[in-house]
Amino acid sequence: MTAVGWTGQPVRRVEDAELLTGAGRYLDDIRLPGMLHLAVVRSPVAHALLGGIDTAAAAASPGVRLVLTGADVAGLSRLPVASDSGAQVFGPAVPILASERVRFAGEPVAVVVAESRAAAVDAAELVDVEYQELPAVTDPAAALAGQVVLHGDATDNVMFRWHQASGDVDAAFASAAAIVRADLELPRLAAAPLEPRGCLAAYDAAGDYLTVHASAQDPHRPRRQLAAVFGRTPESIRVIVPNVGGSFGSKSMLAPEAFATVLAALRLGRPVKWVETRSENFLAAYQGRGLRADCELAVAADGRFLALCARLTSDVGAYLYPVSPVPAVHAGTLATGCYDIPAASVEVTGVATNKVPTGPYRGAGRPEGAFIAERLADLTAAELGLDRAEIRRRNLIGPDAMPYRTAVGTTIDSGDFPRLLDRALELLDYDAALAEQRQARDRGEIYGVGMSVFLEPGGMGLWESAAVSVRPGGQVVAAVGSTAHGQGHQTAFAQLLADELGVPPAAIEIRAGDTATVPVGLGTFGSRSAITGGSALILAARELKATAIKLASERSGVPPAELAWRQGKIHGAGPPIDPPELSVTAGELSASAVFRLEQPVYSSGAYAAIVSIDASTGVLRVDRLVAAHDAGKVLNPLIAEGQVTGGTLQGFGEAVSEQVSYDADGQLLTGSFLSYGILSATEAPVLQSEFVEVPSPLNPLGVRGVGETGATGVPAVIASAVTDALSPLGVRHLDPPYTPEVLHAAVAVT
Amino acid sequence: MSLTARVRIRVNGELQVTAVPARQLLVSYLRDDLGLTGTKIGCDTTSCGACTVLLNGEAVKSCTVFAAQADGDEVITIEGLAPAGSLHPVQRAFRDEHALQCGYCTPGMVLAVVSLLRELPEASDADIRRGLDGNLCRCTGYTPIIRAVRSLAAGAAHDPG
Repeated sequence: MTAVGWTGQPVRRVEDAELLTGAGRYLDDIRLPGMLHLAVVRSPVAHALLGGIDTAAAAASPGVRLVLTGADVAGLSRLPVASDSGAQVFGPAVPILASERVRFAGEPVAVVVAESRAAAVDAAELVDVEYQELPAVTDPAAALAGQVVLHGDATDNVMFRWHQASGDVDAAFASAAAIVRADLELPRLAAAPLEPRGCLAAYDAAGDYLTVHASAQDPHRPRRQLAAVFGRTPESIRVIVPNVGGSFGSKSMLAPEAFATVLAALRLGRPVKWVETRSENFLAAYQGRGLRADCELAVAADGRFLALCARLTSDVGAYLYPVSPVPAVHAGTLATGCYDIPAASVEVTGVATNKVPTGPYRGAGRPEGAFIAERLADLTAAELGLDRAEIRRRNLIGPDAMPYRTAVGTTIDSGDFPRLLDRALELLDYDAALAEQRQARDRGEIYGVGMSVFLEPGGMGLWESAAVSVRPGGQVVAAVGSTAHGQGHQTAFAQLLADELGVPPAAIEIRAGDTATVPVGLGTFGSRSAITGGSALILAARELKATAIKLASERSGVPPAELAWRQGKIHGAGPPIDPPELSVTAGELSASAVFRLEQPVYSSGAYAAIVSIDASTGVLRVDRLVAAHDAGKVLNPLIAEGQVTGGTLQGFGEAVSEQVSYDADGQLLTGSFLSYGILSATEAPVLQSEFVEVPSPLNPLGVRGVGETGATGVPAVIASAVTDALSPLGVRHLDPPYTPEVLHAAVAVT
Repeated sequence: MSLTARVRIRVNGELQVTAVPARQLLVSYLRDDLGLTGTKIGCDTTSCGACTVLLNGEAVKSCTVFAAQADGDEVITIEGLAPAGSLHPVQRAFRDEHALQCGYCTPGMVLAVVSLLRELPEASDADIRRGLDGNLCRCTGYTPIIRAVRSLAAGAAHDPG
């Protein structure tokens, strides 16, 4: 197979057999001897001073072993708020359990640990908490006005600030032929992985060793958080990530409830499990998006973009989690989109509100950045009376301008954006679509054609580690810091190694998700695993081969240049040598490597769509949805297409259905799958997509990220198509989601 | 709270005679009492379908049935769909079409498909979409799942989508 190569083939996933038969082990499937269960008492109100907490009845309830409140966690180090987003941060520490004040409905106030989950839940209802209600503020603009201040030691509700500017913005606006304005809002979204959050903590007092199973995106970041909060050495903590039922960014950090679970296990010396319900996930898991953008684009008479001025407001919620500034800052760095805009000033302000905090959700700033840039492109076309494809072609950064440093200070390494746009429009048959639109409009139909071009920086975190060992008989064991939660790493990484080492994928075992068996790594987020994890594996495999050849040369006296690694063995010094024979420790030969990037690797893509809207019901129908992606070298087209198709549905849900809502008192209105619009099979659009493979120069595999493409390009393309459909009715812009209610109202008003 | 009910339930071919708390849900009985953790819990409003099992051959959300209600019934969970070490044709089709990613909705989705194809062996794409409307998947975008089912639906039109 080495002649053909495994890489690039649609190899069926090795992960699937156990997941298909129910043999996969997710957090709640793990049972330890003597295990107790934890239930959380949550604030029913959005903003209140905490009076007394009476835990006596709960503690006396059958089967209860422990009740913890804010007073019990006072001795722990606070959760960190710092982040490496580049933002200036003002957020106070995040409580594990509330003390003195609660700041969002659903905030953990106490936990109850009992012999069974039912006993814990029953007892949690007996915890009596006195709340002295305070006025709540849920709207970020109202929060900025500062009538209600969430954190007592602050004078306003600003949690973080970020600002980037370059070029002569003022001069560009003074000389502009037109200034295009847009006030945009992307509502909060729920990541809603099918498996909710949870963890299982066990403490061995004799060995002073803490073992934590967590539904997380990787084991090493949780271990660092645990070490910091509990004042322990990382070596005294083992974190295991079992099968994970989806995350989409929402399990990037340990939940406050997880720290309470660990504290309970430390106190009791028995394993304690916390698994939240879906209702709790909606209430208390950090949400995505929640961004307003107030934008102005200075445009020349020929349609060239001259300068962008944008003020972004991020609805942070009650506390600044370490991950909270990341999406909005990311959106700020991507607000110029794929366009050559010589000057820009972009400000991001994070604001505290009485709602659950926000953080990364699929795309984490990329969809927001694309939405801003693409809405401005459409609005400019409308203002100048130009075709929307033409305005894009005049402003897209050309492939010959790469690498290109944007006015917001990010460097795009490579890409061919005009080619991607042209290909998407070709797949749609843009001219035919416009001709059909004229006829449809003559028939009185509401018919729209849309397009979007977008960037997807990947490889965030910029490094990853891997180790590769060969055992007697040719068995290869590889450990990688990047942990999968549905992305098929075991399959794709084995394909890569099979080619590099000349052994079949079946001989390769990929280990991940356990701090005891894998080297320190970063994990899976931000479209980074293939780029950084895959590259680290290849570097480790090359190191292994070099080591084996060097040892074989020393042993045989044959110069290294005359030795070669083929099919997992060393050839050229008599009979082929099995690499483990060369190891002084015997048993296996190993090598490890760390791969580092200088900067993110940029994927890009373009979508085009045709939609129609039923005037009588407001229901949106997608007639065509097409896409061209540059994901660099594709390791496994089956898996890569799966990422695109899945991301596309999440992006489509964001465009047409999903929206977290609160009432003015801060009560969550979308607290279940009945009220929060996750799409079902009846609503899934059919996507026609293709990969345009332009290898990235920034990593040895030539890969780019693909995880966020659908989520990034789709909201913008649906917005483009919907506003185009409604443009004869005088609609200039609408914010998503484009629900039947919103569209019906838009049609009816005009 | 301490009320119990005597039940006889045949689970994956094996007869279980036991007492269950009156308030215990079937999903909890399967997972916690029998250790059949392939059946998942994804919500608390009977919306997601992760807990789907076959109850007397028909797909049912096991979070909506008390264990006591299953007295005298036959339950098939994902563990009992195919003999150990082998895959049911629906499971094979899911693997071939990459119709699962994180795998959490998969056991329920597979059993929903088994039930759907028993009822509608020649299911059209519209039948498939409607038939799976009660099972949520957050990873795949459904397209590969629909493709997998279509590959098994005898005589179904092989149109894209």
